[in-house]
Amino acid sequence: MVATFDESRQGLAEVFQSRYGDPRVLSPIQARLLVRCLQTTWEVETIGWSLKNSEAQLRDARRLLHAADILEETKGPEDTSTRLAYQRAAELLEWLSRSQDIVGESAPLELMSAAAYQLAGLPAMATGILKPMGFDAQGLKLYSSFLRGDFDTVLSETTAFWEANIDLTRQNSEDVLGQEMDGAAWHYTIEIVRSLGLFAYSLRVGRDERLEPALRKLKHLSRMGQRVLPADLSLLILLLFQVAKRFADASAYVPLRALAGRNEQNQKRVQRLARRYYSRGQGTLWPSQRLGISRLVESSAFALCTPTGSGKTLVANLAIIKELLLANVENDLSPLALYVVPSRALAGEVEAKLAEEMQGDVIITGLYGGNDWGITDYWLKAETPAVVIATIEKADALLRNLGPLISARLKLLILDEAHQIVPGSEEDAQESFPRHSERSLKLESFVSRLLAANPGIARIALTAVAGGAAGPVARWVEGNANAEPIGSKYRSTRQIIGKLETTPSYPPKLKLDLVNGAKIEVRGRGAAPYINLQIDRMPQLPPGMRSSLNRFNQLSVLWTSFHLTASQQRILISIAQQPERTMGWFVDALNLQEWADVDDFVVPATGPKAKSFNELLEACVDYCGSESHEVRLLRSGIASSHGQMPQRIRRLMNVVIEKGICPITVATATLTEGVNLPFDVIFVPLLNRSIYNPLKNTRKVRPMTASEFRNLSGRAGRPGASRGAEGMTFVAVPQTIATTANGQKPTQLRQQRGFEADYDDLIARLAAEEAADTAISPLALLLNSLSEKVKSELGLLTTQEFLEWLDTVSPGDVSEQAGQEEEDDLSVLADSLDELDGILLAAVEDIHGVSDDDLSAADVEHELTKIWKRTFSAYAKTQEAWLEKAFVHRGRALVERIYPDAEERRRLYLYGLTPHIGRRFEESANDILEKLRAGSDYGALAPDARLAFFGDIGSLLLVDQGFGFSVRDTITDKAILADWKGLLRWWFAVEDAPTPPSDRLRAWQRFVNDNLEFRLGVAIGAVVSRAWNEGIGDTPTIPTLEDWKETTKLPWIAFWARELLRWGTHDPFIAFCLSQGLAGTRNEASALRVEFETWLTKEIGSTKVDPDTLIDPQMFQAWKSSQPAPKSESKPRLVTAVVLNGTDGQRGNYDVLPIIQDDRVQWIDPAGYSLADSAVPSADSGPLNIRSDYRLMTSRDGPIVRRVFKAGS
Amino acid sequence: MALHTAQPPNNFLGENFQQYEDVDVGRYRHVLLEAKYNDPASLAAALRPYFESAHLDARTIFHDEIGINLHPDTGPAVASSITYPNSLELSARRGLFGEVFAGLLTQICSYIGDHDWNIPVFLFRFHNAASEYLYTLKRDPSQERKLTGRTGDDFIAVTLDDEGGIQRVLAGEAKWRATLTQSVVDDLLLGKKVKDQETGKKYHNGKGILSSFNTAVDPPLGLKQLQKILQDVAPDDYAAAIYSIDQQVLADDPNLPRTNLIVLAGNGGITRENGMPMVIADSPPAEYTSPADLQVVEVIFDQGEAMVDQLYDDLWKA
Repeated sequence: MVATFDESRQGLAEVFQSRYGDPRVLSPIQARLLVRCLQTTWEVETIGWSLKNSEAQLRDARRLLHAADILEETKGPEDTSTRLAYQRAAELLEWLSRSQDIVGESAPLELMSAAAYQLAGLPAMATGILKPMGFDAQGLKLYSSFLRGDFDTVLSETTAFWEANIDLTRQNSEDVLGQEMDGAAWHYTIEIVRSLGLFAYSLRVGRDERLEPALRKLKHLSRMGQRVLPADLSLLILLLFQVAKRFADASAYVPLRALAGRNEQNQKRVQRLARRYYSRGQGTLWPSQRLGISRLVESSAFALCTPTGSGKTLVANLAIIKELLLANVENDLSPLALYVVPSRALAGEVEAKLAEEMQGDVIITGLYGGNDWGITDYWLKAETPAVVIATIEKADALLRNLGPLISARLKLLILDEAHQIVPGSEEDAQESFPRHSERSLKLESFVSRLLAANPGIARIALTAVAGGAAGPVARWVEGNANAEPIGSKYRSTRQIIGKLETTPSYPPKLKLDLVNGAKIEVRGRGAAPYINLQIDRMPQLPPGMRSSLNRFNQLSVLWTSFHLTASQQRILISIAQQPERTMGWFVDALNLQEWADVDDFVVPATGPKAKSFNELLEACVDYCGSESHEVRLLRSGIASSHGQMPQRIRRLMNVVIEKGICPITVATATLTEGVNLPFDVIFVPLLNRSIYNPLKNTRKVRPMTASEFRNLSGRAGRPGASRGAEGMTFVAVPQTIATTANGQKPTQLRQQRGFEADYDDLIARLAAEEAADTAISPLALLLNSLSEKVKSELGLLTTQEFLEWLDTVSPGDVSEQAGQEEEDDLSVLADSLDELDGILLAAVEDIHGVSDDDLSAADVEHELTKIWKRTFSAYAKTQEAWLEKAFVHRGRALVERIYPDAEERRRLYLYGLTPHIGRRFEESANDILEKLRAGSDYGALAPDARLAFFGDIGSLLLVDQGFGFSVRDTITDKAILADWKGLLRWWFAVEDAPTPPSDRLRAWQRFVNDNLEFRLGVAIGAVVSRAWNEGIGDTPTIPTLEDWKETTKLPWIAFWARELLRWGTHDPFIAFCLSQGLAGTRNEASALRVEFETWLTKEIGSTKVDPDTLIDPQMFQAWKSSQPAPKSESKPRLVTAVVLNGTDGQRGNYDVLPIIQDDRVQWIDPAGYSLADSAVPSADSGPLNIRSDYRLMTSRDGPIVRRVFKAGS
Repeated sequence: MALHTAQPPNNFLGENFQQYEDVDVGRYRHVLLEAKYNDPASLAAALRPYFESAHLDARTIFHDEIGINLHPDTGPAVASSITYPNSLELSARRGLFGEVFAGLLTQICSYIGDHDWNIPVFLFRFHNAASEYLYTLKRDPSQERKLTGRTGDDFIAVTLDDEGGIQRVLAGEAKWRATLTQSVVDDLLLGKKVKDQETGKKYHNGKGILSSFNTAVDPPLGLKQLQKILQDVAPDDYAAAIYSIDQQVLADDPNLPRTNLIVLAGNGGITRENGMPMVIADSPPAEYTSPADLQVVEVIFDQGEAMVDQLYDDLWKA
């Protein structure tokens, strides 16, 4: 092609793409088409539209495909403009098809749309369109499964074809050419089936030598199609070929083989792995994955920034394979990867996925036990490579306790949801610093220290694109000021944001405002982008319920949700605060007579769904009580989740949500942090939180930030859902007031205007927010906040004065109430300083390790400078020089003046508390240690005595708000604290314990979380950890159960205490059973105790057992291993003798697929040639399955077929 | 490269056909050709080079495709006894004949507007069964063959400016029927006759060639396929034409002038009288509403089928 024309063509196509396919702009007619499509999907009245409109849009779609074709030729398939042209073409075709407009077409629009989505790099959209389509015609089914990348189904379809046309498997299709009925067209059809079958098979097994001819054949068929097929059909065939090329390029085999290099063992390993990916439908890598993996092949540090659901986990998995399995191991130590996740729930999800994927090659273990080190931590001494999945708190504890051991093995750090390095908001963070609860700061501190100590390790940050964090995160993780995040604009679904308009007089309406961040503007004919829901109006609420506009609004959301579930929509009602209040409101409404019909949830009675549901229900009864809101809502099909719920319930809630058992979920944001749950629609009833400060008697209103909202709305959308590929988030906004009482009207009117204004404000912020390339960094924010407070409280205005202040002052000098969570300004300053000291102390101790040598001030400065350079703050934006100076200065002062005693620093470090609090904790620590030492008879104690044991330890924590129990300054919380032993009784499920009324349940749960699990747990953990470290002396030692008691000189209750607080039981055996998954509820676990005790008596040969032996974890483990393991259902290998009938066997071995016909198996080549036949193999080896791989081999004893890959169920 | 390069045989029309040319009526011209040859075999021989040239592109593509045998024991290249288009079934070959013959006429007849038509390459559309087979993956030989062919632009010719850009496009429908009678022609132009359920009267269903022209999109869809083929076989020679197709396809208001062509070819019916057109000659058909120029050619053969069979047996053989 002559170059000048190439340029002209490209220019033409670019102009066209930007006019018709700008991702941020829908033309008025495009917007109307989308609205019409949504209205049709939701089965509501549609806006005005004509056939001519449809034809014009179809023409535009064709033109966009044409432009895309030019751009692909001139700029390449990966170019943004190419992809955007394909994307808009795909969208228009999708919307036309979903609007059910019959436009005179010979090729189904869905197929064309799906193909265009594949070429746009949006495979989930292709799946989303085609999955719900039930094509009758065999050919359409074949192309549909192909365009979805569902290669197993492609092969089912092609083998069905050969089965129906068995004669064709014994001849060449040219033979049909001269036949009646247009033999040439039939020949063409047969060759299409051959090519697609061979292509699909060769792709899934990675057989390049046959993939190539299959592709070549497809190419020639599409060339031929240009000459002999009607225009639309030839376009479809061309698209099939183009998509096939993409599939081949995006095959998991390609990068995996590159990763494996020349090592034959590694090649085999990746071969198996890639085949498993195909078996799970993940063999074709998504664009974001390919970007990540190509970086992985060449480098060892990068940030992958792409939305949830775009397959980041796979990149992380491959990083693990690369660094742990494929890399040469330099020393004898088995390599280790640390996978840091934001929540325990996510740790569980990641662990399950990884364990399935690695299948025994690597130890995968989550650190979730209450202990810093627990009985599941066998990986520590194992010789197999291991991946440890941990929250930041656990990871930090690991580093403190086992730093040198970890460092020696650590090869890879994976930071999941790495954008959490950026604090939610500056204000929130500044309030969290003095409370030592800012997780972003913990993350920054931990990673900076880890990287400073282990600069050579591979590291990968995974993040959903959030605000301007992507760039800084990439620079930080790579340690390169010029680094760019690897990412793509990839979305698995379309995101629509709008409002749910609620009124007492009419059914609610949905108004659509943003689609993928672009404003939907529908002009002309006065038609607004509304979905007028065809549901009943909510019955008038009783006065008590409508007197609160917020309550009316939330109930309208629930009412609407119930009606939407009829169409299989899965709904999340996302609550900003006080979930227990919303849950209570919901329960009250459900108990209204008028609502009796709306809840038609049927509790699953049989099957796995019933099992999951009942497991959850029992756990809720166990932990929340049978009268709790949780239980009542569950019975109406409403799952609930918030941060204070016991972990086990949260996990089980996730299961019923994921399986679609409960169609409605009411939850706070903690539900969705990093966990991928399937919702079609998210309702947000309130856009702000109000925070009450009792000390200052003020109430602050915090609007939801744009990034919080974006993260939330990003969770909506479920590819393949029946209602189309949209994820929709609606803010509920009352259109009128709800009350009829005159006295309440002015207030509600004001509130109603507030709702509207909050929504408009949000939309403006979302639409306006351009991705900035800077982000708040927690450490810099802490230093800034200190400097500001020093200015305002102490009047020290210059940097020099601030630095001098840092050089000398200790938190106790600033405020006598330092370390006690006091809220006066000086105490807040002191506690913020203590937070900084905690980071510096950890840094210094990391450097110093267990060495006896004294650290010189120069050493400290040198090392802290190194650490500073590893902080996020150093990369987030251009920082003023004083920040680094302040950091290093304070570190030096810490060692020289504030905490000059090296041994004390070591102890404070091991406690894990900030040093000022740690120092005060030391006084109580010895008392706690004594109490623990005295617990050697705990195993034999009655429940009340056990409670008393914990009661005694807990009482030591009542004295001090710094490390001790702390509650909010409310009447409810203070009352709970006053009777905390009663609460402990309930939490430990001791008989006759008081139970919380359902509206107080969350307050009780919060106390358990904050004070029992966390504060009491941390205190005991710190004491035990100190005992261990004193026991081992200066030699880094891997803890084992065998020497734990001897080293710590503590009874087993000290080992168990934190686990008990976590699981809510006084019985270590129950905690063991729950943590090992041997029982689902505490009652079930308790029932197993008899079995254990019988076993123990037999084992020891006496009924007289030492009380500490009764709770010896080694005994528990031995008992568990004595239990018969469930029988595995592995089928024997399938091998069967065959008779060749279509080959002479010259190649030695052949890929074959089975077709059963007339009680014989025809073994056909994936291209549809019969090669051999045999008797049907015996049922012992399992049924023949197209999803498995079979190989025909010629051997000395004659030809055989062997199953070489068995597909999972 | 497999462009169509052969010129039609000299004096071909004058020697073999009697031409009745009507005067233009507005944007409409009608041409009637009647066989006057005695020896169909010599006609077949005279046509052979032109037909070989017309089929060369498709033949190359087809042989390339057949050359890739996907049997696991087969090496990359395999000789096949199958040849295109010789091996095709008879009726398929006659269909192809009509299309190539339309091309030949386009190059030698003077059409409405007297443009200099250029046929870089021929499109040869499968019968509509292709869509069915490909969608259903089913073929039932017992089923009666449907005679209503697809409609659409299966023949494309263009005029080029000095730079090689396309100035005008001709979209044609070529139909071969064993015997051209008035009712066959009416069915082709206006669609098959169907019975009105209420009145019991029969009427044409309107799905004929004329209506397909009336509702045709601009530029013709076949033009994009022509572009693909040009990119495939002669991207440099036709760079300007390729670009001008892009301009038309991507234009909001495509303005490529268009001529519609209908070629109806077959043996005359028994009752047919010489010089009698079956399509109205002195004004455009009333049902034609498209603004584009319309050219109709009726070609009446003598022993046409034998001639066509002979011609296609002999391609690349004689």
